[in-house]
Amino acid sequence: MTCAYKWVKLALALLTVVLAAALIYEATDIYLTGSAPENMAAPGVAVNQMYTRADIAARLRRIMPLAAVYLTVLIAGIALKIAVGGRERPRAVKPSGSAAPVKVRRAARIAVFAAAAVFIGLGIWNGGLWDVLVKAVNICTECIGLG
Amino acid sequence: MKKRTFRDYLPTRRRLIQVYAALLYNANLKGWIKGEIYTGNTKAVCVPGLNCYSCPGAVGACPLGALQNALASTGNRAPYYVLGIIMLFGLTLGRTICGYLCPMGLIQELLYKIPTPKLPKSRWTKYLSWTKYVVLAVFVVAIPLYYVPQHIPVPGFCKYICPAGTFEGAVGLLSNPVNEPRLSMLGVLFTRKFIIMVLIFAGSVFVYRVFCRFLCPLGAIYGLFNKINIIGVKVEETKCTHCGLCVGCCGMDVRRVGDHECINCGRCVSACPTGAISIRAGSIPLLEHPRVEEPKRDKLRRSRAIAWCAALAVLAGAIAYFNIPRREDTPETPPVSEPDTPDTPDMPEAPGTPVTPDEPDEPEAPETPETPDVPVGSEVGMLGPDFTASIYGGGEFDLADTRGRVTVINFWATWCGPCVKELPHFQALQEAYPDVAVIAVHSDLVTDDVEAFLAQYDYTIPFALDESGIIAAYGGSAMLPQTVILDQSGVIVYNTVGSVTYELLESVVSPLIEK
Repeated sequence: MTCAYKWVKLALALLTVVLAAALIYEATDIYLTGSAPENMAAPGVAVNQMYTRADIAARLRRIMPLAAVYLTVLIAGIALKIAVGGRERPRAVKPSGSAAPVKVRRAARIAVFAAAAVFIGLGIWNGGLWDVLVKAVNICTECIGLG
Repeated sequence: MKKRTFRDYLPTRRRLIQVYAALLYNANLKGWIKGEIYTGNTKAVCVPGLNCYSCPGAVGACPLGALQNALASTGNRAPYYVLGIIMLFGLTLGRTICGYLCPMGLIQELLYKIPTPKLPKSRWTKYLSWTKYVVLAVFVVAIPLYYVPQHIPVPGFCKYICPAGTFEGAVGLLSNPVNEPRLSMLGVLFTRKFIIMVLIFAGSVFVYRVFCRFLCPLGAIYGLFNKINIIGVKVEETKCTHCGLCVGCCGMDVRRVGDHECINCGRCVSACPTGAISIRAGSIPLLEHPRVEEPKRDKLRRSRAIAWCAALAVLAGAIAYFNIPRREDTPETPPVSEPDTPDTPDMPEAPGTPVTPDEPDEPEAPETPETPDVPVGSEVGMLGPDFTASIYGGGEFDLADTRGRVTVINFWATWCGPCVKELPHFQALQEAYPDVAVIAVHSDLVTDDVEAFLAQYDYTIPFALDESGIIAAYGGSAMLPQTVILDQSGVIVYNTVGSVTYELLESVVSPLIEK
């Protein structure tokens, strides 16, 4: 059982790498196809949309068998893990460094708390709170990679 | 090897708290269904963990995104508010947030559960753990500050790395069929970020919390507070034998319990043979060694049950508050002047792609075009809703006056990096095609003095403020920039959210002029 579990773990490792590689390949391929010279009317003007729902769906369908195999092996792996059981004992590692003295910690806490309270007050006063709200209620196209 | 029992496979208290926090941060469940983000006032408050505020479920702001944008706005005001909030989180919880309250941490820990050979921590991973401080310095601080003199807000970490933004924001939003037209915005930026996300998620299968340990700048910031945080792991020095089992059992690159790498997960609490380690809120013990807890088990069970009931009530309240429609949520019709055309059909917010519209019967002379017999709306092929807007510096812009000319409307804002970056393209278009009417309409959400901002540039195109819901009338929602191009008869031929290039503008405008 332990031996089988070891093999399943290796298979899952391999499948993880293959699945990740497949996803990266498909994303790169979409981009390279979309930005190929024959698809560009002018710099920044693509003839066809780079990512389309149909194309993404077709590519995901291509990965689906691999994902199904991954899921099957994963379930087998989890079942074997439960069957094998056992837990490694932690090995001891000598700690290094030192904790801050209690007095220093207490003083630092008071200082940081006072600074935080003053900063929040100042931030509300100078419009920082409004800035955060405006940014958060609008979709940041750059942040999520839409450009 | 110690034999595991069924209880070992049940979710731990920490896992339940992680799931709870992820749900609470993303309580706007209807956002997932509608494919929209939440736009309520609670978003002025940052949540402690890394949770993208462009996620459809998010009800609070991401502290890291807010920090970068605040740093990018330092030309206008000091980032006191965000710094204060982060200091407060750091002081109260430190990296306990990473261990208990971060959805990204939860995702990585679940991926690490996949049974594969694991990469153990070593001296190399300890060296690598300093990388997150480099990421913090370069992407969170240096890049936004570098663009301050150019008045372009660029959140470096969000733009180039953040896997939470890609996973929750981009994939979360775009997987909804409602947002299908937004797929046209995907390009190199998304491809690069998608690859980074896949690499981080795949890495999490083999390496414990790969993102938190080596890349997360928020963890790096909270780590600075770890020695003074109020809620976290504490060691009773009198009981400690310095056996090192605590450091040995830890998945993070800690040198000692409670240092800047410690996420206060509490794994070492039960590993400690003398019961010297506990998680405390000040002097109140929250989690102690099972042997220490045993005598007060009943009392603990009762107080934990009360705490969970209160927490679940808060979650239920939050879900109800964010999802049950209230009267004030009913959208108002934007007060845009009514044209003399048939009724506006339901206005889908989806903008289109550049196409030549199905031309209504065009009049022979373009100088005196008649209003075509098409419905008013925001979609390509519809008649653009008329509006008037006061121009900065005096004067008024009336869309009706531009009939007979190609009109380019750009919706922008000073706080939107891509918007500011593309403004020169509209200026260049105006200079190259003087007959084209170009107007840039600023979002009604104003954070800076727009006139002062514009005074720093030599733009000659008219700039106006959206005071009458113009953006909404053109199908805009919470995404900027947006560009709308109308032909000589006022029919929309292009309406797209996302950045444009000069070439793209010219490729749409030029054929219209030649007609």
